[in-house]
Amino acid sequence: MAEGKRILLVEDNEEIRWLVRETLAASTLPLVVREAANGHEALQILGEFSPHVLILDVMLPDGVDGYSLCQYVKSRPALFPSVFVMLLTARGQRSDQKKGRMMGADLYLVKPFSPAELLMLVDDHFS
Amino acid sequence: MATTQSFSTDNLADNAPVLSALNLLEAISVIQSRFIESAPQSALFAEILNKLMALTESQYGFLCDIRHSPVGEVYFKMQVVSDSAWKSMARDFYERQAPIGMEFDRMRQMFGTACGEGQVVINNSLSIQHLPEGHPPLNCFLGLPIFNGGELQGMVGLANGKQGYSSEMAEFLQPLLAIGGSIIKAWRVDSWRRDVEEDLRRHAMVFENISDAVILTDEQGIVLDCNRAAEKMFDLPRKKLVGVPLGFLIATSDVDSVAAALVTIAGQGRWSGRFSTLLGDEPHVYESTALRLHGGADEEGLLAWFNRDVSERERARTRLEERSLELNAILDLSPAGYVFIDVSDRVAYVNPAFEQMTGLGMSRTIGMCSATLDLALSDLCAPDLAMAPVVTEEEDTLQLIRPQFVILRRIRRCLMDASGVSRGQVLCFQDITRETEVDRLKSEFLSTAAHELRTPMASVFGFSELLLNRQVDADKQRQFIGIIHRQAGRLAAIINELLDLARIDAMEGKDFNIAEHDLAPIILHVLDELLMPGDKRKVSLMLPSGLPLVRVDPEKLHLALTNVLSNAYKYSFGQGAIELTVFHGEGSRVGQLGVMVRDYGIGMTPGQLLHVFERFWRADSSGKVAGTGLGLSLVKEIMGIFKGTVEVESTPGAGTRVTLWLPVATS
Repeated sequence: MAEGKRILLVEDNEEIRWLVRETLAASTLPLVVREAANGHEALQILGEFSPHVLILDVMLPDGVDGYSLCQYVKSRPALFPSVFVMLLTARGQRSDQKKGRMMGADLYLVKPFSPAELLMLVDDHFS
Repeated sequence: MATTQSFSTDNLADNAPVLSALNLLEAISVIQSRFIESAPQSALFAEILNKLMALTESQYGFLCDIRHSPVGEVYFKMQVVSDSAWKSMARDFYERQAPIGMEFDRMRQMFGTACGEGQVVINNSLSIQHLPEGHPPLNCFLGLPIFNGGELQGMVGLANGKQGYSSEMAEFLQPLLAIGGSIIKAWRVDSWRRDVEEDLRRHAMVFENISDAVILTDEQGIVLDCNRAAEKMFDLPRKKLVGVPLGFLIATSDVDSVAAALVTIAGQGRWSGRFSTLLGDEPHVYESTALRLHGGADEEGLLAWFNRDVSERERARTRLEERSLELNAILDLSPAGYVFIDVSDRVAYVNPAFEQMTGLGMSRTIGMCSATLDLALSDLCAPDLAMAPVVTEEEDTLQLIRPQFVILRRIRRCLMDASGVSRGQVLCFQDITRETEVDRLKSEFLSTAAHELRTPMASVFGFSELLLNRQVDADKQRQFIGIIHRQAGRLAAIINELLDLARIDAMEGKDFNIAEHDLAPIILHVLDELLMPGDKRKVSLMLPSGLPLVRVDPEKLHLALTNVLSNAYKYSFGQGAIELTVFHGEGSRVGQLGVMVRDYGIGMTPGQLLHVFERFWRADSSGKVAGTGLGLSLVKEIMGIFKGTVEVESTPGAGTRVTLWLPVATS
């Protein structure tokens, strides 16, 4: 498994993936970032790559959304010990946040978000 | 204390009888003169008693008359009691008892059988056991009946005469008693006359003022007299009514006839039925009863007719019937469900709408108590949604899943009559499924719209922050600015299309300038203005000549066509032709023009096709294809206002056909 802090980003919007990638590139930590454009890809990657931080878009195409991915990793502590899940979403309603917490998410970040804040949250988590 | 000279005056002892006779004569003349000058009754009685006491040297005395109660009982009415040496308690007794009269039996106990038989009673050795408490002791008693014309009128009682009493004394006093008798008699006759007059006056007043019209006739029905209400009944004064046959006054057409009534009375002595009269233009209906008041077989009888005006009651009854007919019609037709619960908390009525909503009809619910009805209703609800929280005491919401899904607002109203007494309650059930659904859709739309705005905003916000805070090389800078620009444009497009949709929703086409237009120039104008950067394809147009006019707003049709065409470009990625064909509808589409736009792009699956008109739904969600997901929603709304339709057919990988169907102008 790759050295450094492992991060998996699941986001169907290519531009946002780019934005997150650019944001994390400025980190002082040795980060290994993998990307998935949908839930199915994410599940495949999760089979071989146990991330420390999972950044999840909530609304994903093709049936597997961010909530179910979150629940998937949080319900398998043996496979994904102490995984930190950040939900990154355009759904800003209180009920959505509540659902995220129920699924075990550690953080709920609403779009539009500040890249600097995202970077700080990731760095803080690892320090 | 008596002041008149008495029998025992010593110096005139020898002349005592003469003196007494003189005293008696004097007393008689005084009383007669007082009677002539019409002294009050009570004063005359007091005078007589005083004279009698003086002449007999009695210590106590009373005078009463005999009366008959309305039920025929005989009693004494105490008229005057001597005030000599009576202890206050005894006086109290008489004063309390006297006004209401004392029973003859008690008087007999006290004074012996004196007046019962009209005999003089003399007792000079009294031993009376049952004197009222506080009554002074009595040692001798003289009871004198007062007669007039052989009729017992009253009595005088004297007690404790200085020398006792004798029959001679009683004999001697007779002339004075006779005067008393004639006074009582005269007074009694007078008061009878007054009573009769009073009775007559009262009866006349009742007769005049009673609201029933009372008519007196002879046995042939000729009016003899009538009261004021009867004058009103015929709108004629009494003098014009008297002597007229009742049959002339009462219309015989629609109700009972007087002639028939007279026959019945002749046979049975009484009759009841209905009469009607016409007052002005208004018919009045009377409930009438007639009685024969007297008159035997050989005697002329008197008939009394009592007529009660029931027109108002009849009209009220008719109004009530009409009202309940109206109410029934309203309840039958009302889309709201109604349940009436009576005073004893039982279902008395449910209307058809309630049965339609809940499947609970009259036969199942009548007589059910309200709690059972509540249970029956919650049985129809989803288990976890049985009862939504009560909004107010009068209002709550039910979500039924049987017999069909329906959301009901239940409103309770207690019925109170004017005095605040409960008369049961009404439950009203309104079907608010649609409202609730519309509310849900609205809030869903709002949250989707916010979501759609947030995504491009994330790019604009994020990349601009990177540009601000970081050293970025020139190449990347350009790319970032390109993203920011594109996403800002997308935000603007979403906002514009949202506003277009909102305007159509709000105005429902009132701001459309719909008129008859030739389709060709509109289509040519759209193609001329269509701008698809980076795409060199031209639309291949099939536009027949001589097309009929259509009723559209050219500007809005322009917008709709542009949206359809730009979808065709965007989802074919530069590949294949874009075709626009105008053609006449056939079959069920006769009378419509079809404007079909066809591409040979990625197409859609049948599943995707289901969502094609949903707001913000997009065939490609990756963000690679520019767009808002509002274009086809807008097309559909616009076509709806043109009274046209949109048809979308698609095959994945083979392309999509969108047809706008426009009704041909009929005029």
